Amino acid sequence: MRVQDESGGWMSAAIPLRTSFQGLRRLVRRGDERYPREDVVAAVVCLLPAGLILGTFVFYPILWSGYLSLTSWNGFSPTVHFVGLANYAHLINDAVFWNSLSVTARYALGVVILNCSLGLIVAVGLDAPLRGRSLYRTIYFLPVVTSSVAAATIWGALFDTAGYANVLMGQLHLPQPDWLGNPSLALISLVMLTAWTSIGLNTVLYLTGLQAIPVPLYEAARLDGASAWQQLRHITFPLVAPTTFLVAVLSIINAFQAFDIVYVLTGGGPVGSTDVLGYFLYRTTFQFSQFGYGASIAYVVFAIIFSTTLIQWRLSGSGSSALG
Amino acid sequence: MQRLLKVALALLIMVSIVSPWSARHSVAAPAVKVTIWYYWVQTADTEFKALVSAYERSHPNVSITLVNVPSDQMQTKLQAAAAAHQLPNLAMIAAENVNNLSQTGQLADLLPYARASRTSLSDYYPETLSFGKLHHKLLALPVDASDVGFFYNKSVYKQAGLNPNKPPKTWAELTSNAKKIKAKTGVWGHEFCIQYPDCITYGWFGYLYELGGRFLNKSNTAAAFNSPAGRKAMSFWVDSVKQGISPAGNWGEFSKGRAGSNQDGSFVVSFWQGTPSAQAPFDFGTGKLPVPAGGHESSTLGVESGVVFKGTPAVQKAAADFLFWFTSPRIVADWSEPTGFLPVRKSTVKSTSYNTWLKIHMPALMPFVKMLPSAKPRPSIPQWPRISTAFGLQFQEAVYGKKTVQKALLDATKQINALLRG
Repeated sequence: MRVQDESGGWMSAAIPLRTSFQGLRRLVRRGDERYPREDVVAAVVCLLPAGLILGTFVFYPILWSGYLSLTSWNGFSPTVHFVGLANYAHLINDAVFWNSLSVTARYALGVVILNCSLGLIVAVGLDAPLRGRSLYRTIYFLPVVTSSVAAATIWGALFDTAGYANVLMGQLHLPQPDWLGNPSLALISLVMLTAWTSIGLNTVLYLTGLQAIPVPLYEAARLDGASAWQQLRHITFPLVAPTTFLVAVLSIINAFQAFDIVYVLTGGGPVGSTDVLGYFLYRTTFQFSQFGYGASIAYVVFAIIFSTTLIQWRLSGSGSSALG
Repeated sequence: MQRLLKVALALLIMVSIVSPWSARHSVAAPAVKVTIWYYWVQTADTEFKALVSAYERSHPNVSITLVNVPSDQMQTKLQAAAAAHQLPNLAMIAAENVNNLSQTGQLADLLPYARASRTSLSDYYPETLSFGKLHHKLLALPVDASDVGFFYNKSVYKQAGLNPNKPPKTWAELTSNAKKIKAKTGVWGHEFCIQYPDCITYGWFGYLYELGGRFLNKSNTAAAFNSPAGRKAMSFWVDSVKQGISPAGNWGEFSKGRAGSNQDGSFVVSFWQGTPSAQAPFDFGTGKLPVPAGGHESSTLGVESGVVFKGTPAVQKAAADFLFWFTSPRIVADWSEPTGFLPVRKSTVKSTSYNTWLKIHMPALMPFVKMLPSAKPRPSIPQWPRISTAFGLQFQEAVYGKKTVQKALLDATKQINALLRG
């Protein structure tokens, strides 16, 4: 692509772009001389489209919902009442919120355990020299590209009282429970579904981690007489720890954002046993029309995710080994 | 010759310029444009479009634009439209939302139009009109209704040795039949909807009303369900689960053929009998909601309403005129028959043509039509979604044995009174 320069001549579009970045670099460098005006103009022009899009669809909604969290508004009334921190104070005393937080924490724990263990087991299996390995990898990855609503619908049929899960249980002469209608089992069922939908991605992450482990380490261990379990325990586990950290962080973030499978399968029930924060937020905002209170829940969820990530980041040595 | 050609060309150009203009002005353009938002699908969508076309033909000065909004998005879209001052001229909505929507200050009062069109409001079932009667105005007009009745699987009844043409009339008969069904066929005797809080209130209200109970007091300022009627109605459901004749899990066992009976809305009849893609999974029968000893016939009423938004006098009048035309007795029949919705006009229900149609085409709807005069709606107040959820969750606690009926009712009362106090 070519653009017209100041003298009316034509030059590559990359030149003003490069100039704008140089200008920006000078902007952030302390003690630099005044940057040329044309650099600033070029930088502003180049950044304007992205800035407008981000500002309209990301920053403005974030700021607006922050303001909403300090108001009482039902979405219908033309007047919005400023209530300060009352929504946050109400949240602290709301038993439904604490139940929701507890449900989400248990859901996240279950998802983290299953995601890390299943992801690693499948990755170890697929890392072995198997015939048709690519096919297996594709099969395991298919749930990742399946719509979560479609997956929930399929698993709804699976978990039906007369569904495939219970048919199998019956053939094994085991009790046939009401997976989604029993308060003790509904959350476990959702954890299994979530683990199934993310097993492909976690496997890919673990495969990357496994393939980065130097082969001579295993050869040396075998020469020293280490068993397969000892190799797994003393070489694989420690060296894929950064990947485990990454999978755990992603799983927790996704768990705190869960909504669609709960919406499709349980509606938060029975007796609030699957009422995760995402669904509580949706119900409060869009079914109860409490936009201010809903926004305060959203900010609390954000704070939880952010602080959890920070804590894990610190505990894992800044996470540099996992992400960098 | 060349000059002649030039003249002909000039004439041709003039004609080509003038003719579209004259064509445009030879047909009178519709003077008023009305936009309607609605959410009906399948048969109801087709029938609504056909009725709108019929209206446009008989009212050439009005042009109607229809916008089909998914039902679960209607409230959010109306909220967004109200904030952006982009509301339609008319919307068909669930009547429970009228009160909330009235807070926009954008709903037009329909009383002057009722007077102008000489519409007899007393011909509408009073409870269907109650949703729109707010602030001494009429802010919504009912367009159709539904109520809750008894559904049963005739094959299961036969297998259990019960008369497949005799649905239970009392709670005692219902329990007795359910026990026989469970014992002889192994499927659940009777299914109550316990999965969703709103489903609980929709299904259970009829049982409460049958005993003369109230959910809230007359001024809608305090809970009133913690009464002998409320305890008895809730105990009836909870005991059925405890006795093992009713499931406590996910709703839908009856429609899958795994329960002898349930109670559901009248719209299920038309869904199973009037929708080619959703044929009934078995031979089913219907009846009025069974009545408790010492109780009286009642049911839960559901209503869909039309609301007109404020606009220019001409557009507002055109929208209101359409709404009154749409709820005129003849059009109510035209709308109710193919869709299976219950008529909102008494004169339609009394008409010979509607009753003849009912007997021939949808006899299963008959008990629901008969219950219509005694059916009552759930409270139409802005806090209703929160109240319904709070009550439903306490109800579930009782069903799952986490609380006694008394404790659940007491806790629900405390929570709901707090919500009503604001």
